[in-house]
Amino acid sequence: MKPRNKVKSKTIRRNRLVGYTFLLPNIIGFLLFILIPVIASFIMSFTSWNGFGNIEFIGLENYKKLLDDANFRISFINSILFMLISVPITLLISVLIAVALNQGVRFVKVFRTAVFLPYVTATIAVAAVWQLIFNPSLGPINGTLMKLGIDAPPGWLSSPSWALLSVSVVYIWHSVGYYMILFLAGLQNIPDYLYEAAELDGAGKISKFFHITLPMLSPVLFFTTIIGVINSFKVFDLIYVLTGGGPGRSTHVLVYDIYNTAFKQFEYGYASAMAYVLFLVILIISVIQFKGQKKWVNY
Amino acid sequence: MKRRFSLAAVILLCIGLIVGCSNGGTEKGNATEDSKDGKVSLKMAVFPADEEVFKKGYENFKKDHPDIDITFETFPQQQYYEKIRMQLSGGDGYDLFTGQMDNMIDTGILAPLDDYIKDSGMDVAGYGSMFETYKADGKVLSLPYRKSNWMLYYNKTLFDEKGVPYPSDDMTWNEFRELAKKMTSGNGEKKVYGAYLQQWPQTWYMSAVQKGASVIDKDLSPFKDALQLRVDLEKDGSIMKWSEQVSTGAHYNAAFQKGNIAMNIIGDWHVAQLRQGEKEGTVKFDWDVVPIPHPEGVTKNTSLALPVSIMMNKNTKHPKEAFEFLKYMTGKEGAELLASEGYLTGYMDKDVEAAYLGDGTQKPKNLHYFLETKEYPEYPMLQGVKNIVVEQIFKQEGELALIGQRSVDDTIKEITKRVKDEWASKYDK
Repeated sequence: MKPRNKVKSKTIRRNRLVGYTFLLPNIIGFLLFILIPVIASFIMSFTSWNGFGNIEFIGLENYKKLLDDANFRISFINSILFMLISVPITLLISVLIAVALNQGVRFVKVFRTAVFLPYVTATIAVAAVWQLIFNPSLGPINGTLMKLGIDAPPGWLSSPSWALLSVSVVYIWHSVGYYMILFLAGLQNIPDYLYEAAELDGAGKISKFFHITLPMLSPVLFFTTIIGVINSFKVFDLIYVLTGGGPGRSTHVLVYDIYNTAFKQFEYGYASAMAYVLFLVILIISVIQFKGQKKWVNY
Repeated sequence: MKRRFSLAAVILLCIGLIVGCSNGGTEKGNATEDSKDGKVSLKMAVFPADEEVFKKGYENFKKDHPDIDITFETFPQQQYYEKIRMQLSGGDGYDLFTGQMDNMIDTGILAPLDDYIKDSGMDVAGYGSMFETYKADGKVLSLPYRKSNWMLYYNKTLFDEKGVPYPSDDMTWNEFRELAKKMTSGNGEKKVYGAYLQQWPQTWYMSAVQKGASVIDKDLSPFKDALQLRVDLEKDGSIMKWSEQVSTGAHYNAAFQKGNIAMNIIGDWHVAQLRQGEKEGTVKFDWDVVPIPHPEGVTKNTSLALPVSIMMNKNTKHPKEAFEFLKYMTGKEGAELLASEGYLTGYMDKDVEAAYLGDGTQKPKNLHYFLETKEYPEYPMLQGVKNIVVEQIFKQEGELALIGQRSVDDTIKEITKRVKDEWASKYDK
């Protein structure tokens, strides 16, 4: 028994070594580009540093400063608002499109591609086109509104009260395709016999949707909510190109504020502290979601 | 974009870690290796708009200094400082770089130039009062090569067509407003704007600075009239609407070259841009320059300036050679070259003036005004003023007034408050 065991453990060990060797490139990448920077920026959040010279440890000073930083407060509120607007609408629209496409309509592939296309289009290009669409005097939206007899249509991106909403519209349009594909995959995993059984029991279309489709889709829905919230907090590129945080500070979101602090004002320590607060917020929201999932997610 | 941003952040953090750990250890100036034949290689970062003229200057410089090799690098203006700072903080930086000194002074890597200036027997009289004004703690940390003065460019062809007399060199802002109104006409494709003001806060706040006010003053009430004027110009319809400018990403150069703008208030570098446009055939009208309008009670030909200078890395391995080029470009010879291209240079004497005015074959005809301009700094060259006060507070708050969201009075009140909270509390100690 003993020698055989030894041989076996040797093979296992060798196999493991091979396995780790295959993982190595990835692990090195993870260490270098994720873990070390994450730790470094955590340490940095307790310092004051402009990129040059001595790094000064200032303890919790950066975090204290955040409490009465008006820019941070405004961007925080904007980020939350942006999340509250964009996540539910994105998920709703993508579920509806996925369900519609799953009905076996004609040209499914064409529609699927059409919905997914914005997601794979470069953000800069998307932003440039939407800038034209939203143009207050020459754009098609306001052109139509004015023809319909509305004298002073909103300025969209150039109006402080509409800018965040306009950016959300672009964001939703841009990301619906991605979630739609996830939902479509989820829908295709729902076995037909459930629907057949329900039909035999006399269930209509609507009650099938609410009693079969939605519960069976709940794991996907849970996943997409988490990802959706995280992504909406991370929005930066669209804002950078579409509004630059303006007008005023109406679209100043958290990541934009972090970017400004780190790369325009060169306060790396302070920016790291902001990033960690953002991380904490996302973490808390995700934990709440995970706790809540037991109530509505069916596996 | 998102990915590139996070990558940049990651790289930065790694650099931070490495620099942090090796603190006070062996700091290296740059990574440029010298070739074996005794040649010295230098690396220099320049503003994108200035790259061509620096390359030209280097061609001339090389004739007398065959042993100095210089490579130039540039980045888009918007990211210029973040890029060069990242390079410099990694130790793999530049021997020389151009820029506005306030963006770099906090790094502590600017080499004091006093000794080099003394040793080289350089004549600093050409820099005028700027030589003293821009010293930091009594030391010279940079030398200016151009001044970025503001001027009023006007489209002569449009004025001729309308039979309106050209703008004068002694015009108040109210007269400017009337003139702009007179020059405005048409709609849609045929729209002619009386004036164009780039969507920078400087274009509205300049009239307050002409009176001697500064953007970090505790009392910012002089800025009320300035902001009101811009609001009024838009109300008159004589300038493009702010919201339209922002949403179309309008740019002074393309806008003015299009030919439907009568007057454009912008910096001295626009001369070179228009000459370039003429060469390429995109400028199809006659044009000239006059000093910018002035507030009531302020002498004519009062302008704003913002010196752009060359700075030297104190960690450079070849300070002598680097200073040679710095001296060349900011001194008399470089100034003559820059002036002949249409830039108002930091260094001025009779020969540079002659080069600036040219032989009369080149437009614009009336550059001579700018040799006698009285200048106020566009903003005080202190840390954080540009990034926080001008580009955030004045821009963000001013914008709300310009799109009619808030009254001018409330806006200036809010600006005053934010300058105190966000800038003065940090830097004005």
